[in-house]
Amino acid sequence: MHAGILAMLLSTAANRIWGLEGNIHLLEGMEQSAYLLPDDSEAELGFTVKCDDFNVEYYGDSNRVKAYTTLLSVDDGTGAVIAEIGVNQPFTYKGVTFYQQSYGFSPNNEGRLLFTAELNGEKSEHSVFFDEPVSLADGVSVEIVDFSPALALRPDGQAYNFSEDYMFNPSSLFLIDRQGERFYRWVSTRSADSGQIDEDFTLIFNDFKGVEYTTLAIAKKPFSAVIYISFVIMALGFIMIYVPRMRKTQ
Amino acid sequence: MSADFFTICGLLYILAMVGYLFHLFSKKRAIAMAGTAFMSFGALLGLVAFCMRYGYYYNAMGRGLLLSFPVTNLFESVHFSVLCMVIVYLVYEYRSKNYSAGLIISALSGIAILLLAISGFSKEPALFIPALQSYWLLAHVLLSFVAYASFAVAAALGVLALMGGNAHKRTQYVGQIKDFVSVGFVLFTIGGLFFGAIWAKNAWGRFWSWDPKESWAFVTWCVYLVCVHLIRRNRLKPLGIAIFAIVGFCVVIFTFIGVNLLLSGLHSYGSV
Repeated sequence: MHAGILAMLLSTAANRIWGLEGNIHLLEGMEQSAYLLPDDSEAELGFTVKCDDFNVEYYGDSNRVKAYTTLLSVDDGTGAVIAEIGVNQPFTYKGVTFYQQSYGFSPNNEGRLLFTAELNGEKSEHSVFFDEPVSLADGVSVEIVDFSPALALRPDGQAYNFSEDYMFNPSSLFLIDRQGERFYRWVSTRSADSGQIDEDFTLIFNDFKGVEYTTLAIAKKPFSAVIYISFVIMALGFIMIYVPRMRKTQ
Repeated sequence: MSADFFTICGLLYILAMVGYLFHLFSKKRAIAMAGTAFMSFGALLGLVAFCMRYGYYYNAMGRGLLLSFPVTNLFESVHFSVLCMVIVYLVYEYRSKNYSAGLIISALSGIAILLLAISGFSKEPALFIPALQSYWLLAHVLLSFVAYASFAVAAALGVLALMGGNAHKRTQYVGQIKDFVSVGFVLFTIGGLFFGAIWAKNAWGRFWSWDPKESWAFVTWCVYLVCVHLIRRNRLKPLGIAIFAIVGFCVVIFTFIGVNLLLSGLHSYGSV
């Protein structure tokens, strides 16, 4: 029993000495090889990590988060390994384990707006910056002029944004020019019919890529196996101490 | 619906308390049996409400039984811990035929549930946030709460041992306190600390972070650690064991409820 406690304390100390702990903040699409130590100084991982995609899922129409995951690609120069990291779903590469910690909205100039247009049965995918017009068929052109990370509608139909920190409902304000007729339309990712302009014309806003960040905790604990073994030793210790006594009292 | 069932449990426990209280004066077994009947009916209703919540999460989230264990907020946690306490007590009562501790356990259960019912804490089910979506939730919470329940019954017996009675009864109580403290200590160490640490490692990357819940769990563990060592070495007088059981349970209550209400940390799901 006491040997188990000693093994646990020693391996915890060994993990402190020979292991590492820190954080990585990654913008979607960004690649880096440095991480932050607990004192906010930087250190090198020895390989690069890149957030290929970051996703948040919600329960139904609510804003209660069901899951958030980072699609991470790791590369030490010999070829990338891709893994999905979520809360309670860590990923280990070369002894370093990545844990999904937090995330948020971080607007910047690099982000690209992804949308799909469906006009007269013809589908096209687009990736644009703000105020960059896209010409579709039949004299129709569209451009995105504004973005709201968390769009909601008031009872009177007026749109408003309710969070600057998280993209609860990423939405874009499209300026649509149809043969000289110009009008605006908010199109939301979580409301499919918001982009239904008419029977033959639909806009689907897919994502604002590169403006969400994900924070991963990283840890290297080479002596963790000893800690697990010490737990088992202590559990066995309990059995050895208490089971004979239970038999005696019965 | 299940929230109302939970609250009715509290009323049944209060009725049980009245039964046990009368038994204390009359010593008539039939009156104690009435207390037991209310207590059992309360536990049954609690179990039904618990299963309804379980079923709701199971259907709403579709993640299987092991990932739908309904202890997501303070309301559900308190109800489940009370349910564990009442069941552990009823098993004890059935085996020992001792009804005296029923007064304390039923009062504690009834008051806890009725206070919760009039409090502002959300009684509605809340679908699991990602942090709680783990098999360790069931293992960690179930064992911790059964441990808390053992500590509660030990404390109730501690009060009886302190209140007097004849020497034979007191010796009997102290023997039972030793058993409950030992069982609670083993379950708390394995379920609360080991399983909690393994889960923390899997979710946050650290076995132990010294957040308020963990620090107070450590304090709780130390109190019972000292207690089991002193018991094993026969260094404690019967009254000392009784006092340890009561003080230990006060620390348990703070670790379970006090930390959630007063301190914020990694375990702050209760206030959500």
